[in-house]
Amino acid sequence: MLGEITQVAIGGVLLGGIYALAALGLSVIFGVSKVLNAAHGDFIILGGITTYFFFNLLEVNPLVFAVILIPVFLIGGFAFERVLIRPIADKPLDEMVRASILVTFGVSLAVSDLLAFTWGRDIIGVTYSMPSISIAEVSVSTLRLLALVVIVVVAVVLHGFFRKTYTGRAIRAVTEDREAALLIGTNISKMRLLSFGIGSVLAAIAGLFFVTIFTIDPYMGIPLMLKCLTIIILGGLGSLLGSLVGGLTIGFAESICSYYIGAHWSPATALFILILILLIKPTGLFGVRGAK
Amino acid sequence: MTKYVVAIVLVAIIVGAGGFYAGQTLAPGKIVEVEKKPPRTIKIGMTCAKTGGYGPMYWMTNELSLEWAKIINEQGGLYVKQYKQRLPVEIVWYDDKSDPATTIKFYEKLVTEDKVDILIGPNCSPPTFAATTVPEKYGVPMITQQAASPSIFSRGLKWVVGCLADSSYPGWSYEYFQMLKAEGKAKTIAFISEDSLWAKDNYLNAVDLAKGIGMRVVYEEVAPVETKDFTAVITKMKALDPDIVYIASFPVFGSTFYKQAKELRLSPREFHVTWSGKGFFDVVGWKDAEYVTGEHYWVPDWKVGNYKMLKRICDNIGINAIEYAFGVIQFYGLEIAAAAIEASESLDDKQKLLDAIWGLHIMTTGSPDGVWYARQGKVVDGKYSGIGTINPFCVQIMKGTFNAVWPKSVATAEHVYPMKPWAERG
Repeated sequence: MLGEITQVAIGGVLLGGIYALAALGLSVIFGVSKVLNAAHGDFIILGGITTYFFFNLLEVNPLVFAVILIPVFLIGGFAFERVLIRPIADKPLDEMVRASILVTFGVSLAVSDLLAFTWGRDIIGVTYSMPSISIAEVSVSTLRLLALVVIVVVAVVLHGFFRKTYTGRAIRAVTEDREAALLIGTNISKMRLLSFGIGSVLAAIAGLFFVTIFTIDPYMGIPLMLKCLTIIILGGLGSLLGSLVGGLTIGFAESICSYYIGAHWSPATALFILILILLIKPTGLFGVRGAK
Repeated sequence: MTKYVVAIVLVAIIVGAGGFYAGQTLAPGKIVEVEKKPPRTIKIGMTCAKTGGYGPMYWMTNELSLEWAKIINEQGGLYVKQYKQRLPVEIVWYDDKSDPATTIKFYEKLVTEDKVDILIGPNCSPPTFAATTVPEKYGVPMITQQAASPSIFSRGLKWVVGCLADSSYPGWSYEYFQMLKAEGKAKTIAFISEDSLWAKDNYLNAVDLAKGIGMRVVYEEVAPVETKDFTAVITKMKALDPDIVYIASFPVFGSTFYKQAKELRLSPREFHVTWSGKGFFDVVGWKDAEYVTGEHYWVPDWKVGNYKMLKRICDNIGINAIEYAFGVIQFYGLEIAAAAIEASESLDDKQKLLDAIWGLHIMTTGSPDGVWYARQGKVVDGKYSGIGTINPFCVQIMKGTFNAVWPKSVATAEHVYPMKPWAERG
């Protein structure tokens, strides 16, 4: 019995790691630019499809394709910002938020339909597996463990970037107080550009794990984005630490709920926790009241 | 003089050439073909899941239907008694995007605007459940295809006749459980089902079938279609160590579960996957899918019905019928529709067309164990739906292909049981 619970708990944390990785990118983008990127889930799908494409071509461990995904999605994120977000970025904040949701939602629909047209005939999943690690009765998925390692590395690197570098500090300044950052001469356009690049890369890496561990289809973008949104609201809008903790919390809670109550209730767990947290702490776990 | 000789030779050449041409065209036994425009075309209406959730399984069904019509027309069309001649066939189709609401909209259009003569049902049970309201409303016969959910046929639908037997009669996995009973090796079974109409019907029916042959059901779980993580379910199953793990689902759910079962080393003696076609082995790989059992409506080694035409169609549209063994059900539906049109006294009188469907006893490409005919379903308000007789057979994946393993009368290979645990598989 203890072995079963340990297995479920570990599985939940590992699942949460993947959720957190997916949500982190959305959080970075929203924190800096205040753009709710409704196409974030589609970036995850595109990352998964790119991985799938190269895996079928080369048939090697799909994790090595991160080397391709990082530059491609960094440039893709930059282009997305320059072409679609920058033209609306100078509008008053409330107008810009509304316009950005419409624009990115439109992109999401276009990407879904385009993918359905080109790839939609097949369900996409990489047929790669690694031997799991077994300790006593507990089997730990090596791929999920690797995902967790990646998320820890990404978190440490991002933490170092945001704390130690000028650009990172500038991004944090914009996240915490946009107007004050502007007053001290921070180049907000550049920070926004960077946030889209980083956010897209994080989404693509999440897509790599998604397609390797689960399966993806062209219409998953919006549901995935909503899951990420739930996580960043739970963690506190704009808080990177909040996204990490939010992802891990939801992954863990879903697994435990699935074990004790039933798999049918698992998807509702995230929303239940979200409502509970918002009732107790409306800013989310790590959100700051009155943050601009 | 020379001029006269040249003139005579020229005239002779012209006359000779003319005579030769006339001989070629009007020679005895040669028929002068006068193009006669047929009085009308036979319109067959359908929607297909070209895109959307069912797209991966059924994207090719419209192409299969169009190619079928092309071949039929090359052969002169279908004979219609009302017109005492063969008429060309026209397929009118729309992409229903796998969405039941869109499906209803297009079937309304097929009947009211396109004025089709007969309807072929959409792909899969949920859109079919929705679409079957349209033939009832307008009185146009519909032959349903990849739809076996009993919920469809238990409503008393006068104008609907199924190509397949509904999955409660005798049950989607009936042959599988008959095989287990005959072998007597498997004693315990665990169920995981996705929460969709077809899958849940199969799962509930399979629970009864399992209990009916004396197996002990050790675990049952229904999870949402979009479930991605099965750690908790697999952990519980591992502790119970069932002989059989029965996965009732479409490919996304089933393949995700199976991948994770391998990751977490869930090793029953056999995995039974209700959807083991394309989509499933694309994701899990043929190697890992080896010895998985499931149900299919067609295997390559069957040589019944118009299998040569099916092969020709598949070759022409560039698909491997093994991968789309559920998609080829479309062909059976078209075989039935064609036979009904040729048997009917009238194309315009829809009641006569419906009567013709009910009067059919034909061998389809998917009936190696008997003929197809319509059976009376549950009577509701004096009306009953027609349920077909085509049943799925138990298949097992071996060396990258499907083999029928039960019933014995149509088997193409021996059932391999148990499968090796993951730890012993390469």
